[in-house]
Amino acid sequence: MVAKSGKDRKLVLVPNYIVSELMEIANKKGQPFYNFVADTLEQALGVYSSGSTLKDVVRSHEFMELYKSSGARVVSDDLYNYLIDKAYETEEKVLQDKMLMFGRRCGRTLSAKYADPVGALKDFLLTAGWNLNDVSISKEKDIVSIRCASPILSMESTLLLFKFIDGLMNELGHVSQKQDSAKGILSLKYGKA
Amino acid sequence: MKRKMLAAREDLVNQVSEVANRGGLTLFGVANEALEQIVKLDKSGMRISDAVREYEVLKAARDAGFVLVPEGLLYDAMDKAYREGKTWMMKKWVESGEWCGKYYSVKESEDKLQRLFEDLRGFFWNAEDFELSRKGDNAVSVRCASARFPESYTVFLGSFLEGVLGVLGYKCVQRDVVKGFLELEFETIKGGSATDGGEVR
Repeated sequence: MVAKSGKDRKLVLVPNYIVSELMEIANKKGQPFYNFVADTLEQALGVYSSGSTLKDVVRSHEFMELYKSSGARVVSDDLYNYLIDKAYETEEKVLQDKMLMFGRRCGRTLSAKYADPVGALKDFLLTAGWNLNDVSISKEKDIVSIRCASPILSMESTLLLFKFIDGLMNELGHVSQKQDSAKGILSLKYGKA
Repeated sequence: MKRKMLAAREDLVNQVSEVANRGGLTLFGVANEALEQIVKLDKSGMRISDAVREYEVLKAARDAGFVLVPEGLLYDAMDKAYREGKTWMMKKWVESGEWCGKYYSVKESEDKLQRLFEDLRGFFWNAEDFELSRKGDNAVSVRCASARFPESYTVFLGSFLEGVLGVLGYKCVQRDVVKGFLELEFETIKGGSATDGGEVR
């Protein structure tokens, strides 16, 4: 896999197509190929040393682009929970509809960008940072089971999360078959529409 | 699959090899995954350094207790809170900013204020303009603008920034806040040291 090549250089075995594409990128940047590879590996090592992988970085970037283009904004969770608690009592339906539509917009883009959008769903949900510390998604034949848990999610936020997932799954061609929810816990089953 | 030998700096290859060993992976696997992701990023028009920075900002946002919310829901809920309990809500935003400022004040960073603002710029991507300017050693100004911000959000964001900078040792001495635009001027609090996050309030 690796061989010595001249002073301070080593050879690493890499698939042809990756080398060709990297060469193209280096040319586009007007950077010598050797230097470009060194920069790239340095950046990758920086990521690995923080306990992540470049795959995590790229996936996070893709999901954030998707969230941003679907109209997501950032707010502190403390304020979000407060705003929801305050508005939920009188505007439950409006808030739920907005979350459903947000889920639909995300689902539409997710299905356009990913060959297996249901497979990408777990990381997609965790990227949003809704204090979810447990997300599991399994698929058996046409049934998709989704389980989300967070010890600190309020009942209102849990129900809004359900609406988001519902909108998203609808866009992915699935309809709700079973829904169990309690404060901070969602257990959902979806079948093909 | 056809393969080629790629020449790379020995020290880097050795480090990648160490990473691979630690994770029970092969050098081939780790190096190829990394290089493959670079190609993927390039296809989406993104540089690796930008993607890494964005990833760090997002991680910082999650660690600091920020969440993603649909814009329509956020603005509607805030308009309602603005109409029904503006003062109380502003206090909540100040508190939230104080928490955020405190969080950054204990983070390792050479220039905590700069680091905080770089991250905030990442958090508030809905702002078309988000600038922090230092005015000498004792004053900073913050400008934030977006045509999409309703009045409620602009006012609350101002309160949030006052909370953040208050913890870092700055007091707001002038504020200009209108729908979609805010400019705040801060000075260091006398007797306190800016950006140490200590007992300056």
